[in-house]
Amino acid sequence: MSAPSDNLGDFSMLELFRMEVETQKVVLSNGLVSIERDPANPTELESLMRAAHSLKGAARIVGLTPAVSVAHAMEDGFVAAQKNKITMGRAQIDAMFQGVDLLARIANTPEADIQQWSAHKAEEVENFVAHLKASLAASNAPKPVEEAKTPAPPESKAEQSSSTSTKDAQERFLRVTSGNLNRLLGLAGESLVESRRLRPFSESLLRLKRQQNELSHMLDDLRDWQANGDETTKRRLAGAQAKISECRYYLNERLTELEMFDRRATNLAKRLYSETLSCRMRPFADGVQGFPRLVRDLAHKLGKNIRLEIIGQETQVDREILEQLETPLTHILSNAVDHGIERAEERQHTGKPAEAVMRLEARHSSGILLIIVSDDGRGIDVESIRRAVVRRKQATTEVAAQMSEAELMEFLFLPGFSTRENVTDVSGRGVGLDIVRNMAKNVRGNVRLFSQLGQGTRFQFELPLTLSVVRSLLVNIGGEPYAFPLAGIHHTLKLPRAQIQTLEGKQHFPLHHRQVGLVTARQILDYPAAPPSDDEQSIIIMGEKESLCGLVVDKFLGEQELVVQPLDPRLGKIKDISAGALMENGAPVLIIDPEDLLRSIEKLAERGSLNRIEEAASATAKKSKRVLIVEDSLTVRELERKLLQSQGYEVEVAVDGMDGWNAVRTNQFDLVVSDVDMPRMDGIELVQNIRKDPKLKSMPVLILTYKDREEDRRRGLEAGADYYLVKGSFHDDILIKAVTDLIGKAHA
Amino acid sequence: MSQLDNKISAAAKVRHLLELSPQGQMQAEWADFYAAKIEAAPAISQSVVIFRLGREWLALATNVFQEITEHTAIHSLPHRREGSMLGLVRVRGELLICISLAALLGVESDTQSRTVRHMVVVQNGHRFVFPTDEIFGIHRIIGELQPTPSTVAQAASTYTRGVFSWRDRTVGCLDDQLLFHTLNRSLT
Repeated sequence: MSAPSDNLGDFSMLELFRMEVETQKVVLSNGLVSIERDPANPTELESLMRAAHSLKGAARIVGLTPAVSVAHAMEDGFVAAQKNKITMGRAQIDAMFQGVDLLARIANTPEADIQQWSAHKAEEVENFVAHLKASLAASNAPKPVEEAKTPAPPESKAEQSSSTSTKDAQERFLRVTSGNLNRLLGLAGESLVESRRLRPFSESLLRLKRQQNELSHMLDDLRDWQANGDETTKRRLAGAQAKISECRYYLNERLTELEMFDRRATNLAKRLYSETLSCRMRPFADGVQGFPRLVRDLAHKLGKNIRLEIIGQETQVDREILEQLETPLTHILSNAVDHGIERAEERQHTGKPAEAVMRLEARHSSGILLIIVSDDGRGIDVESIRRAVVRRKQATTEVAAQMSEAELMEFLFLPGFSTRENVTDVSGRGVGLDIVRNMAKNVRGNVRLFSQLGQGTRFQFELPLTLSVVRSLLVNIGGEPYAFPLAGIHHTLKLPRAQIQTLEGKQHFPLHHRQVGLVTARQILDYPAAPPSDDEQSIIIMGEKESLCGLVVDKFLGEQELVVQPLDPRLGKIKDISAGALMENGAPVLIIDPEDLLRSIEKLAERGSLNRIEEAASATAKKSKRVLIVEDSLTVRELERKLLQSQGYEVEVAVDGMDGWNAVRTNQFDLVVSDVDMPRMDGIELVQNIRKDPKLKSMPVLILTYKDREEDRRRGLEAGADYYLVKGSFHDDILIKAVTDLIGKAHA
Repeated sequence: MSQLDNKISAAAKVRHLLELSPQGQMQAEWADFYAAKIEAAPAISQSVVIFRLGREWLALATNVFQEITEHTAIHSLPHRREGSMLGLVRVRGELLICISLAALLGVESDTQSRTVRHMVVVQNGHRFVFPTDEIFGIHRIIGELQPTPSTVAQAASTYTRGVFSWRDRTVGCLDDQLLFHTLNRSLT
């Protein structure tokens, strides 16, 4: 059994490589054409280098050493061009194009013949690499010398056509658009809902059965009463009795039939639904089959002893997410093998087992998909990041000294940031972690990095489940159903009203010797307040240990697994809501976004009603200009806030782009100051959203970021920012000057 | 025997008919008919679905309709309850945006009506659901629409292309382009 399944695994990886080559081929070809006109374009060179880098990684996963060397040689070329060591002239670009073609030919070789690239066709690959290197070296000459005709062997047409005709007979993947799949899932869900109506219907017929029984009894009574009656009456009664028993028999038969029909229909609908649902999801194992080999091969090459453990292979992962995870996971694993894990001798020296262990884990937790990559290697020296931050002038020594470990780790996700100078063919070059972060952002997730010096490193992806299934608590709020993902709930309880105390207009109740604040869900979700009652209150406790809070709902309805349906994208992000779903009876239910909700609760709790009145009064009295700061780092956020407040501006803060987007739409601001890299929605998207909104489009936006590259600046300004300020260079007066330039002084 | 005879004679009659040359007067009449200038523009016809919102009779172009479904539960959206937004409603297992045309057009609708139906309309792949009190089905309007009378409510007249008569009633024909444009913009 295991042998054929291994084969299939390898085959599917090659298939993925083919798809990757198809994609990157387009990137490479477009990029090469455009640098022919503009040889020093950094954006193009960057994307070319990344394309070659991705192909290198992908080729390594499938074990295609010839393709690795081709892609590696190409990557080297692009890196050299980026560093201005060479100029991409026509000859160089021609050579690069040959590389692209060669990669495509290798990728499209039938599975059975793939080894020929390491055997009798290896020479062709070597020739190409040598040719490319020679061509690149030649470009150093002041005037690019027109080369003699390339020594690369001409492609044999016959071989190409044979490779397409022997395309593998097995079709393992069908490409279906996610729109199609969603509609299919919708229809399957609908048929499930419809099938559930059969049982209540057949049960309602039991009443008819009862009534027929009663009728039959009445006829029996009538017969007894008419025992001495005339013959005509008796005959007619007997006829009626015969008729009723015929009816009863017939109804019974139909009822049995209906019951069987119900069972079959429900069963069929259930199977159809779960099968359709499983089309969207794939086991985690499907996406990670190549990694054990990747780690093993790499470790052997570097003379290290490493074991990769994969946990949660059966965890269901949305197929789109699984596809997108491949590149970042490849990158993180290669990085860990190369830099993270020490050599055996060094490990033994520090008392660790000689064999290093890396773990790749996938699981569902609190309504999100967690992908964790951890190792027991040497870890990351936070101080070296701190030094690098200062060395790269991204913060002053004082500011850097105040930064928390988590904040420093964030620097590693910036493009081009690296604490080390040396580069290997396995990893490095500062490409990578920003790609990892981008992937997570693309699917509206996040990735975080934890590390302990000497103990190891851990990457944690927190990704949405999208169309996956979420276990949730159904509750009633304001007469409508809502679902709380179980992961977002601390616990639930019912509380007699007498135990709730009111203090300064806010409600509290004692829990574990502490006072926990209480907010009604109706208030958060804009429902009219419930009529006062003396009944028990149904309360959901949410939040972390130190900041627990209670949410009063109208009623607990029970626990249910829901299939998450993303809401119509035209709606944008709805505050406090993450998605929708259907309940068993087909009624729509909204799924709560616990993060959003907690934030709303905190804001409500902080402000209190008294404060709000004061705010309104002060706004009319002074009318100072209002600034919204959108920034996910607490340190920077507070720094900016104090700075602007000291100038008399009224400042509100938002902790990420999504929070900021909610804030600008519901409040009046004169200026938005936004960071770029933030979870949930980044600054660029925020600016784009603001510019697209008819009511907000003329609002000034200032971007304040660590990203100091020219292309980042251009990206920010193209998105519609009015001002682009780099934090590395930011002194107090520069920010203030920028703000006054845009909106004038605090009191106009 | 007689059947065969009949067939032959029928065929002969048909042939005779086909070979008949147009007789004097007829040719001239047809020539006149085709030669005559077309005076009025050919009657424009358009297909619409007629429905009722409260006391208003309205119509929307048939080609924007995807389907008409029974009334099912609508879930409101927190922080988005103002205006014409009703919330989400299930159609074929998917959650679609449900809009109150009555609120948008400023007409009163009898929500208790037993004949409530959901109209599922689509334009450029964007779908909306409009609850309506009653549906009368497809109707073909022949000829031009009449201008909207001033008695029609202000909000409703903005979205009305014109009116036509149907069973002694005046029906307002809605401008689907403008309707979708406004709704799509009002969403975010």
